[in-house]
Amino acid sequence: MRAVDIALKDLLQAFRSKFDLGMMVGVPLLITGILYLAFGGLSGRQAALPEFRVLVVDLDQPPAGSVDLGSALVDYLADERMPDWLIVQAAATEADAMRTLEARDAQAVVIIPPDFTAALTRPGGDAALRVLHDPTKTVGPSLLRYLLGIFTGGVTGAGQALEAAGAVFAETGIELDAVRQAVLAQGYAEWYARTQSDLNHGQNPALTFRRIDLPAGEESDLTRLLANIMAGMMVFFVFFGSVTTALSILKEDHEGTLARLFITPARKATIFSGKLAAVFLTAVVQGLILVGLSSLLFGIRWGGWPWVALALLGMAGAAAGFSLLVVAFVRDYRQAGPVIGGVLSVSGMLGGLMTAGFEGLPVAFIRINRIFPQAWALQGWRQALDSAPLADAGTTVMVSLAFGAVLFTAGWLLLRRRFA
Amino acid sequence: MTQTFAIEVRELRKSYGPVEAVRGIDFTVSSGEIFGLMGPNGAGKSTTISILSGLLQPSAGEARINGHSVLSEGSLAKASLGVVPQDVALYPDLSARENLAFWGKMYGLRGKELNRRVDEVLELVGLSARQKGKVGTFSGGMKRRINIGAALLHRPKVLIMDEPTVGIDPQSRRHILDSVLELHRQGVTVLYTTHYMEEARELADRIAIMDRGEIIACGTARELIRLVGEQTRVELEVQGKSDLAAGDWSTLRGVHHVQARDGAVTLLVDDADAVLPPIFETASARGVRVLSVRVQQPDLETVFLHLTGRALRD
Repeated sequence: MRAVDIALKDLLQAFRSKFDLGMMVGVPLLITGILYLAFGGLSGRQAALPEFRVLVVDLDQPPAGSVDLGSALVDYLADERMPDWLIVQAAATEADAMRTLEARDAQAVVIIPPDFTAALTRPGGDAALRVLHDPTKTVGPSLLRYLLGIFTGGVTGAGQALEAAGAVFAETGIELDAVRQAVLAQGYAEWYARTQSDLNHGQNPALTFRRIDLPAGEESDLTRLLANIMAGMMVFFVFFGSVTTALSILKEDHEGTLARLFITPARKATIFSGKLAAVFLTAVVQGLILVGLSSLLFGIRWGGWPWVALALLGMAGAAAGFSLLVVAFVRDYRQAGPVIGGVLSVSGMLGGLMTAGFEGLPVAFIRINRIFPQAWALQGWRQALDSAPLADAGTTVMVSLAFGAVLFTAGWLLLRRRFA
Repeated sequence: MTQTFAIEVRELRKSYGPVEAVRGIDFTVSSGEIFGLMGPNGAGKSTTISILSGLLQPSAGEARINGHSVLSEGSLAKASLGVVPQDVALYPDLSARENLAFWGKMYGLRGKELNRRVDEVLELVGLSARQKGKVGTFSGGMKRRINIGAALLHRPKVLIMDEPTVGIDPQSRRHILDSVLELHRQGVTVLYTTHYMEEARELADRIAIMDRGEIIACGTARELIRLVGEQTRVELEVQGKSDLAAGDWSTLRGVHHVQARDGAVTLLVDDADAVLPPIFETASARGVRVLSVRVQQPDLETVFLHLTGRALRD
C-alpha cells in the first residue's frame, strides 16, 4: 500500500508541474501540429503548389494575312482557366526576361522565335520554342512543358490537317491558296481549342478529374504520415517523461526526502517499487493522453483498444526500465539535465524516433534501431496503426517488456548499491 | 528486572575508513525525558542520530528505541520513532496538508484517523489556516514547523529533533520550543540536538556534551555547570596585539583559561572583580586597547569551553 502511496504522490507531482506537463504532452503535440499545418492540414488536406511565374517573350513575326501563333500561345498560357498557381506575363525583350529570371522574380521564361508562325504554317516547317527556368524548381517546369506540349500538339495537328486538306483540294482541282489555308487553319485552331476546353471544362466535359472522399475508417497519406511522426514523438516524449519521473529518486535524495522515507517503517524495496510504479503509471497516463489528443486534433486512428493497450504496455515497460538505468548512471541531481538530454536524444535518434515518418531507410540503420527499446515501442504503435495481427503485436510487447526487465535489473542493482 | 529505556545507546561506534566519527558512546534516555545532545559541528551528533534513525549501520555497539534494537528490529524501532531532520525534508510542490497526509501514510495511517491526525498536527504547529498553501511558498520558519509536524503524525513515543531551530525567525523558534514543551507534557521522549545553549537549558532535563565523537559530560544543566565550579567567563573585545596580552593574562592568578581569536579574548576566571584591574594594566603595557568587557556567570558555554578549550560554535 505504501508503494501505491509513493507512486500516486510522484504521479501527482509529475502532472502538477507545468513544465513537465508541457514537455510530456504539449511539445509532442506541438511538433506534430506544426508538421500538420506545414502539410496543409487545415486546407482541405490538399497541398497547394507555390506560385509559378512565367515570362513570355513573343518575337514572332507572322507573315501578312497569316494566323498569329505567337499571340495564340501567349493567350493560351494566360487563359483564365489555367491553374491559379500559373502566373503568365509578357516581356518585351529576351534580355529583360533573363534579368528577371536571374533575379528569381520569375521562375521560367518562354521565348517564341521570330519565325514561329511562318515555320509552322509552312508544309514540313519546323520551329523551336525555348524555355529557361529556375534550376531549383521541378514541378512547375514539368507542368509548363506539359502545357506547351498541348499547344504545340495542336499546331502540329493543324499543319497535318492543312496538308491533308491540300491533297484533297488538289484531287478536286481547287488550288489551296493562302486565304483558304488561313480559313482552314483558323477553323482547325478553333476546333482544337474547343476540344481542349471541353476536355476539362464546360457543362459536359469529356474528361473529369475529381478527388473523392475516403470511406470512413480509411486515412489519407497525410494522416498516415502524421500518425507515424506522432508515434515517434510520443515514444520520445514518453521516455522523456519517464526519465523525469524516475529522476525524482535523485531529486528526493538531494532534498532529503529520500532519507526521510528511509526513516519510516517502509522498506527500501517498497520505496523503490513505488518509484518504479510511478514511472510506469506516468508513461501509461501520458501515452493515453497523447493517443486521445492526437486522435482528436489530427484525426489519427490508432487502431482498436487491444492494440493500443498492447502498445501502451510495451512502451511503458520499456520506458520504466530504461529510465531506472539512466538515473542509476547519473551521479547527482544537479548534473542530470545535460546527461539525460544527451542520452535521450542519441538513443531516440538511433532508435528511429526522429525518422518515424520516413520510408525506405537503409537496412543497416533499421538493424541498429533494433538494439534500442525505443524502436520496439515505436513498432508497437506502428502495429496498432496497421491493426497488425495481435500475435505480432504481442511479440513486440514481449520484446519491449524483456528490454524493460533487463534494463530495470541493471538499474536496480546499481541503485541498491548506492543507497545501501 | 532490567529497566527499559526510551533510548539506550551502548558502546556505539561508527568509522568511515580511518576516521572515527563516533567513539564508543553510552547514554540512556528515560521515558518522558527531554535529553539534550550538544556539541559543535563534527562532534558526531548527526552520525549518532542517523544510527538511531536506522539510516546508518554502526560499526560496533548497540542502539535501542523503546527496547527494540535498531539493527535487528528496525521496523519496530522506526514505528515508535519520529525524526525531525536538520534540513527541511518536505515536498515543496505539495501543500502542507498533502505533505502531512503523505508522511502519515508512510507511518501506516489511513482514512479518518489520518485526516484527524493531520488536523491535530496542523493545529499543534499553528498552520491550520495555511494548510492548502504549497510548502515551497512558505517562510523558513513555517517550513520547519511542518517539518516537525510530519514527524508527529503517528504519535511517536520517542522524538528525535536534529537542530530544529537553525536559521529561523524568533517567532517560529518560540513556537517550536513551546511545541516541544507541549509534547513533553504529553509524555513524549525527546532527544534534542542543538548548539544553542539557551535552548538546551530551557528544554532539556539532562544534557550530554559531545566532542570529537565522544560524550565528554552528561547531566542536568546544574550538574554540568558545577563541573566548572564558580568560574566566571570574561569576554573582552580588544584592538592591538591581543595574542601577546592573552599570553600575559594566562599567567595571572585566578585565570584558568584564555582563548584569543579575531580581536576577541575569552577568559575563565575565579573572580572577575579581582582579575579585571591587572588585565587592564597588562593591556595598557602591551599597547592593547580594550573596547568592551562582558562578564558572564557560569553557563553551558563556560562548561564547554572548560572541557574542550574551544567555544561551542567554533
